[in-house]
Amino acid sequence: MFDSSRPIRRVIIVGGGSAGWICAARIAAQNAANSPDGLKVVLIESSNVPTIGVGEGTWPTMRATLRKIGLSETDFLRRCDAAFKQGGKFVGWTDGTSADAYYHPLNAPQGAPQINLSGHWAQMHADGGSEFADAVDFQAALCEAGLAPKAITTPEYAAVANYAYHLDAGKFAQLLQEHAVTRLGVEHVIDDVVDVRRADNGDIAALQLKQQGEVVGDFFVDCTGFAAILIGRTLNVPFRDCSDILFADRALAMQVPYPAPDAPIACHTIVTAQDSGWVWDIGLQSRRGVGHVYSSRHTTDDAAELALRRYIGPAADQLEARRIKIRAGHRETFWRNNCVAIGLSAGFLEPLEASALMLIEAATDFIAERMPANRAVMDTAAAQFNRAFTHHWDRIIEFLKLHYVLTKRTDTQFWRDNCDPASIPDDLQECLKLWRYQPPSPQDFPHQPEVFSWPSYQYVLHGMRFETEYTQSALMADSETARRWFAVAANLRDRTLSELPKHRDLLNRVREFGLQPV
Amino acid sequence: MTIIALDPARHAQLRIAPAPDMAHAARLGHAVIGLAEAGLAAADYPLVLIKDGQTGRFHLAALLGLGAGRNLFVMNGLWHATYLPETVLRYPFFRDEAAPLGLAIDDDSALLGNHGEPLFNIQQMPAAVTLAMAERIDKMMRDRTAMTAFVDDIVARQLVRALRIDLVYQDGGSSEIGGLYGIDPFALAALDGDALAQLNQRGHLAPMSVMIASLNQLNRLEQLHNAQTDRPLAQVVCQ
Repeated sequence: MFDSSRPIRRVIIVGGGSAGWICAARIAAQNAANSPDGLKVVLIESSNVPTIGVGEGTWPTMRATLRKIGLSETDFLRRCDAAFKQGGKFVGWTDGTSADAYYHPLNAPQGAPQINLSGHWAQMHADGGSEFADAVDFQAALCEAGLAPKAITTPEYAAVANYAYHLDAGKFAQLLQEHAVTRLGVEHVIDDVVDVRRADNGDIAALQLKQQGEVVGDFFVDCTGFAAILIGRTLNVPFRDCSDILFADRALAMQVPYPAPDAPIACHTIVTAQDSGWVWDIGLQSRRGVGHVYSSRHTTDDAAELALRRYIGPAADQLEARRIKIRAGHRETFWRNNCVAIGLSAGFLEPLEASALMLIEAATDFIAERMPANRAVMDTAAAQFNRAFTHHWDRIIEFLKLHYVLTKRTDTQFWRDNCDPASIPDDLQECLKLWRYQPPSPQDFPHQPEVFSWPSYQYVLHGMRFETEYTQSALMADSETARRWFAVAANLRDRTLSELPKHRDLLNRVREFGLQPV
Repeated sequence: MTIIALDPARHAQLRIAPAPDMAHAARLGHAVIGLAEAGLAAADYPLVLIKDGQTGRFHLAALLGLGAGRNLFVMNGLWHATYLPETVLRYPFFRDEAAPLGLAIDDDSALLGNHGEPLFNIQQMPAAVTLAMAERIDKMMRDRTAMTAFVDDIVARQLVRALRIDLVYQDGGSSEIGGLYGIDPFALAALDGDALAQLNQRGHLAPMSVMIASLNQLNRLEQLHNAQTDRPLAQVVCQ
């Protein structure tokens, strides 16, 4: 007889990519898997399934994740070919001219959330002042100067300017695996799942492995990527397609060597608009990762590859492009019965704002920190989880769409279709009407936590020269405070520009000397 | 400061002044010390860990002042303390593995010139003062290696913490000295017997106690500061 009050003792994770190993490491570290009384965490990985491994950009959340699983930042940077990332530079998204570029840095505007600088900036900008990202913060200047977000004397995971990482996803999964198995007590099983045994209530009771027979578990995490073996094939949770909003359905990826060992490394993701999509350009220590995300409804694979090769230049001549088919969308629900989907099995969105690894971390935080005590209370946890993540996916889709709908480009069908109101979520259309007269503010984003909140919207709206008609009288009360914060941003810019090292210089020093834990 | 290799041919006539003129150290904010110096230096100075700006690695250092560029122990060219760090006493000589004698000098030093003891004899062989200095620097470098091993050990054991030192002035103003690190007494107290035994065996236990106790010398820096400046301190708070 099934006893629903029996404690959850065995967690089975299927899939050994970034999602599987982040999940295994976080759950194990949080729930004492390396002690006899702790939770048992098993990761089952097929030897036959290659990992996708294009998730090369993270959010600043990754610093907290790595710290929580007890990895040293020095080891991480050295082992994963990793570099620092301070935001995104969006080139050619507004009108496609050569001067068309703006930054979405990871620092929030100075003074946030005490003061909203949008209106004050708009006044200054109308009088010939600098661009939004430059006026309200110093990080865009660091990116432009190729400087690092910290110094060799800054402790591990601490920042002078907020930062995330660019990393080699294959090496990252390997490092996580070693750490999770040797230090955190995760049991690693290499075998293929050939069948799933269900319980009477529809739960997953056990997995049948090709070599090693049956593995029972109390809780299952589907990290099997696009295959979605548990959430899709077993539990039949439908996929909600959103390619009517976000058109990209193909990607081409190349690994581009640097022209010289001491070539500068960009400290931000460079995202360049193309005729029917966009190109990502990510600097690791030893190479760049460059790829073209595009809509096959608007261009051909050959034309897309040509555009990618044109972007990279002669360095691409000897390189092969890897083709990846993508499908924008997500599961209708993410946690059903005793199984939760994390990573690509949960869904996929174009990597325009590097949301993939962040969603994995957010889901893993939820599960690691609030592992249901028993089956009886699991459905409540699942309902909370599904509400939160349905919200997150919807908001991310809207935020990604924002980058397209603000364009003034009408030169290709791709950009014209993106501005078709039928392709724009209603909530986003409503907000855009509001934001014409008042800037994005905390009241527009009441959900806690919110993955993209009002500062991100400010950077994109003002970066893309969204037309505003803010009420001047509303600004007068705190104009003096605003002036002070603009001055703070300017002072920090002067100081950090003179004090922080070049990005590659810092990475070299980290390789040689390491960062200190304090 | 211009560090150049000591060259028997080029520097054959060079002499070093005998007077203990410490003016060269008047602007030193801290002095890096070796491990064996800790017990001696603690008689005068607070001992802290300071990060090397180029490598980020910690050095053990004697704190000589409360702000950049001011050594509170040097007045009128004289150093008023019972113990002088080796790195000060070896001046103006430096280690230079590539140089013929393994030594370099500060070409700008006022201590080197036409007066005092010759660095070389008439056969251009190193004179007694040069040989003594070479030995002194050898010993200092060995002690630095011991210091580095000590620092690596205590950092790896998570026994190091950032110090917060606030200067509270009598006029009501205050400022903070950043970039100083010390021993975390709670982490030290929480070590088990095996860890303590290992640290003791390596000679790394006693220096930590010395470092913790030496922070009381911040009072000495406060007194010296108040005796020499027109903006006296009310208090130096170390947390």
